[in-house]
Amino acid sequence: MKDELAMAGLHLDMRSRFRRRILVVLIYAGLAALFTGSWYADRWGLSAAFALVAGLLASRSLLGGFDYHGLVRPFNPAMAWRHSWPVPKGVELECHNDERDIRFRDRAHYYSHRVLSFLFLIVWVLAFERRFFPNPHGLIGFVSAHYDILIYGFLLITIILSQTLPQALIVWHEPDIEPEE
Amino acid sequence: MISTKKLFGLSIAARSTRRTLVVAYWCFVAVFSCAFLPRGNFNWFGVLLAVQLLIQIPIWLGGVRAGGMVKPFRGIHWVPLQEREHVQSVSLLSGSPARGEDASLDERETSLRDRVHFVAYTVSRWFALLLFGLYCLLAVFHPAWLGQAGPFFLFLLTVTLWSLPQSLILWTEPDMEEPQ
Repeated sequence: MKDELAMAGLHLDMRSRFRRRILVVLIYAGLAALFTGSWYADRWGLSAAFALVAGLLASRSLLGGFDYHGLVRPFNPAMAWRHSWPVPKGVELECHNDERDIRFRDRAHYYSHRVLSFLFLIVWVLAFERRFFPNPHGLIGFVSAHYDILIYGFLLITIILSQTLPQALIVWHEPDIEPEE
Repeated sequence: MISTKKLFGLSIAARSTRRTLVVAYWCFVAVFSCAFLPRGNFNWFGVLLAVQLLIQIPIWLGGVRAGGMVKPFRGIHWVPLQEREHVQSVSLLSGSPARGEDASLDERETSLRDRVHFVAYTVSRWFALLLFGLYCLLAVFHPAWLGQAGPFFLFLLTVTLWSLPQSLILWTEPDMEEPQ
């Protein structure tokens, strides 16, 4: 975990867990607002694609985990150079994960995996019902168009969570970072 | 990490046996996924098999609940990422106390469990993006297929998520001693 967030020339101090938690809340609140706006704009048409890209950008540039940007060090530093070009000078050394970081990373993925498994199960059940009970009102009173929108909405949420949840858990749970002497 | 009991009388102590079982499992999943390919007729057999498969997966491979090839990953903690990891006296899904062969995971097993979930999650993350891209392409070019292809994609993804960590554990764990 890095102690500052470098973004657009700004260096934000992120040693405090409280600040990091605010960042996580702001990211998810922002994404929720984007998806709500997208629904009112064109019922998750083209605007949903922009919201999805915004989610991916937030994941990469704020939360990190994939490359040299964001708060969380690359999960797999050996692969990080493929996602980040050009590599900022002197950053490689900062991105070394020690044993505790790796344990925390793996644990965060374990919990995220459980959440994701459950969410995809919900999406599959909806799609399954849509496929095998194609009568106009389905089992729970929805028509096919409702199912499509519901499945698409759940998929969008699940895809965004799949890209952000482990990093968000790490950022949320890491304790305060002591300032170096 | 691997349960010491026998599966249908077959010992799973040898890694080669476990790998064969994993290959057989994924072959079955691949064949069975075809039940969700676009077809015109309603298929009750496919529906029943799909539901059964999703119910039986935890029993076949284990991990999620007691009684499978892989020891249950653990009971349910409600506080994520906490350091204590030794609470696994009760399997909440089965509603019965964990048996001897499904006892709680030691430190090495917990570390292995977390590591395979990291690998499985990383694979699933890209797999999900790929399938989502395909889903969106279908929505643009062949909207009529969407309702039929959707369950196929999502079934693959759900089964992958549910089975990949256990498959990785069964595949990579070394040979064990035969139980007496």
